[in-house]
Amino acid sequence: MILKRTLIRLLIMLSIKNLSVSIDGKLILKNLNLEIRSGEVHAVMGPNGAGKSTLVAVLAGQEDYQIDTGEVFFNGQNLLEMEVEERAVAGLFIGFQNPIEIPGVSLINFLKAAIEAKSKAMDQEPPSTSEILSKIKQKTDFLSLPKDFYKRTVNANLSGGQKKLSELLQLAVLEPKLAILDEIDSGLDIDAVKLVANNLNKLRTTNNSFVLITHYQRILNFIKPDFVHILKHGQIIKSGGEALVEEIEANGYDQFN
Amino acid sequence: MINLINPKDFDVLIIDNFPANSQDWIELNFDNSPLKPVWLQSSKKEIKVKINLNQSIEIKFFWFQTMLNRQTVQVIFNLHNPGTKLGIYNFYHLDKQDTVQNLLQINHFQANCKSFTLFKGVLEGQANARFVGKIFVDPNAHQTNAKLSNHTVMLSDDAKMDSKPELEIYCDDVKCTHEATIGTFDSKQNFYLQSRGLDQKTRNQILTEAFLEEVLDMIKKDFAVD
Repeated sequence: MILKRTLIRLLIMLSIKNLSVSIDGKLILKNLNLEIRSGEVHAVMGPNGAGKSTLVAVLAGQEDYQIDTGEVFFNGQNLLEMEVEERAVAGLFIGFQNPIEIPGVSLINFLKAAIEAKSKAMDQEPPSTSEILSKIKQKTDFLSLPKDFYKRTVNANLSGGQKKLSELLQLAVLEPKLAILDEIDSGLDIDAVKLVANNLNKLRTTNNSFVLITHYQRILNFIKPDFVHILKHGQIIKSGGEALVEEIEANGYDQFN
Repeated sequence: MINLINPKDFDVLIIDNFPANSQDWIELNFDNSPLKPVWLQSSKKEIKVKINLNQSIEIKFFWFQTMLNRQTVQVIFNLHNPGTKLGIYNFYHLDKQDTVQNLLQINHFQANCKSFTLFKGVLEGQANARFVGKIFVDPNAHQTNAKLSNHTVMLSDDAKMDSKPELEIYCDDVKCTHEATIGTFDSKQNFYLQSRGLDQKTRNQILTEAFLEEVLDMIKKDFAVD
């Protein structure tokens, strides 16, 4: 019994308990609970203003909100006490809704710095530049991106779709344990959504987990989540399987209260 | 940092090799448009250069200041012919007790000339930098189009920056602008790098290099006055 409990605890990647968060005195997340295990894909869906972006901001470590109650554990570590960069090197990846443009910085230099940061945090010798380059090239091929994609700048002069693919290349190269993807499908045409979803399917393993935060069910036609949660008024008001996506598609969010 | 600059993209001009007259002013005369921008290099603590553009040429100058204990650069540009196009670009990355002054005067003596001036830099430690840049427009210099910018990022509370862009205009039908900013790196860019695991030192290094790249990119563009 004790062994079983320990195993379950080990398998839990992310555990959010009774999390309440406010911004400028306004309560946005109310006693939110969520548990994610290794190998699982979760979809968190909800209407505008439900608190989706706040949830991402809290997990990412942005500073413009107030934690009122609750705790978040990531692989047994207290996430809320970790610096933003510590979260990343511990294996948390945030895919941003609007990836920031950094003119003058190439994706390859950025990724090299990120890989070196991870090695440093793990007290390991960083891979050589040629090893890093060959890994980036291999992942570029794996995601069917143009061969010279990694030579582009970090999001500057990229279209909305290319920015999302840039986030996926970063994800593929950095191999996080848990990826939280905020509206990875927003602003994309249907072909781009398919490409992003197919690539995410390729990146799924039994050791990593994904949280897809999305307003629309569209991307979930191509990537099958293990669990679907409906976030409304700052709370997860319903959790279920894939079937929940169809209910939302048919009748919207108003049916859930 | 300096490795990012490819000497092959420039005509390198070591100004220490030129003779100075009695007041220590080095006088450089340009009569043709060079194929490449001119990279002015000097290791001296005090440099005084007068650059005469004697024909209607197109020319760009660049210099770079880093790991300098102390340097004062005083440059006067004289645009003596109508239709001359001049670009002046500089980057400084100073740390510890580095003290650098760039004192600049751009004299528009004739009509239809363009000058574009961009000085950017990053200050760390107790570095101390001063920029004084003046655009002078003569009564004859109709249709002058001139822009002068200075942007500095401060990475330390102990660093000091004094920026003073100036205009002195004696002609009505001209377009002259100047701007100066002193601040920190964009917080959103910083957060994005942080969210990928980069520590403060690495983030500063990457964003400083990006700041330099922006200057190098501008040099590649046409005389971007507008």
